[in-house]
Amino acid sequence: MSKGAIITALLGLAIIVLVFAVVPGMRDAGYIIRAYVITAVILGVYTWLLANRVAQAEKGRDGKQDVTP
Amino acid sequence: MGNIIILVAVAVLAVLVIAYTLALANKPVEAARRAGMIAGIAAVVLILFGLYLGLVWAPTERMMGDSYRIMYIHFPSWVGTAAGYMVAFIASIAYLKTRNQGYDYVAASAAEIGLLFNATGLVTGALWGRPIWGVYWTWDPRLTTTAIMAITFASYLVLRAFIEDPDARARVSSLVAILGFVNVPIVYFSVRWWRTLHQVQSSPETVDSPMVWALRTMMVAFLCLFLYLLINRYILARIRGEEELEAVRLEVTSE
Repeated sequence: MSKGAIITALLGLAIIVLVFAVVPGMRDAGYIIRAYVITAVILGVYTWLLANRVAQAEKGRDGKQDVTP
Repeated sequence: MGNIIILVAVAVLAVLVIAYTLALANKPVEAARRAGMIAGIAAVVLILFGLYLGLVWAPTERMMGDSYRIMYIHFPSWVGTAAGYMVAFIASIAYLKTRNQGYDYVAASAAEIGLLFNATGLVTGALWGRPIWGVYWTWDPRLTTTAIMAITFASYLVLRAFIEDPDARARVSSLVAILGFVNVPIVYFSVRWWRTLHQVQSSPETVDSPMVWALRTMMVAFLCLFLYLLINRYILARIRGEEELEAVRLEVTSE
């Protein structure tokens, strides 16, 4: 797993913990929690997948450069 | 006066972000990677700070109660969407003018990131609409034009996947991005042209100062996140594009 992916996962977790610590006492808390958690999941999963795809593509490119005379 | 200065500062920042993303087409990958790392760190710090401001520091809204706090991710999502589609639009024009493949990579990356923020904007809008309007979705002009915008740019990405020739793909998808962008100003002005359910844009003069500051922080945070994602998506598009061009070259040579 790349460094970017680990940071993304930690940030997503921090956001979800913050939202669950602060929001539950509020009116309409269910909608607020769902909005924040779904956004964190959409952005977090995309960022995590992108970081892994970039790391794999770079590994593939570097591998090709190594065998090219 | 203070509000105008801050508004101008945010607008200048948005213009700089858009200009930088367009310059990516002629930049070495290493320089882009460094800028991406800085944008990523700034996004992490600002998102955490902005969430504290929006969820803890900002007061409850008089009419909507706490559900208005969805605004702190809803509106910044539209900032990311507009930035993405605008970059795709300008980069597509630049590609048609110069035929520099780098602009095509920028356009495709920006359209994908724009669509990502478009999705979070629609989801958060629906979750805000339910407690305030009583429905998740209605065929209000703002919502309808926004859905059309998402479908247009999703079609742009699908179209790219179906065309194999890199030049033809870049040419055709540039035209689609330019045509698709026509809808973006319609989305923005739809709340003024057709006064229905969705409210018109708020002014900082009519909103409490802590709410404005939380919103501005989250807007800048999402712009930094947009830049981070776009740079990484561009690096991926460039590596894949170079591999594809190399494969085409080898095929031509072997023939």
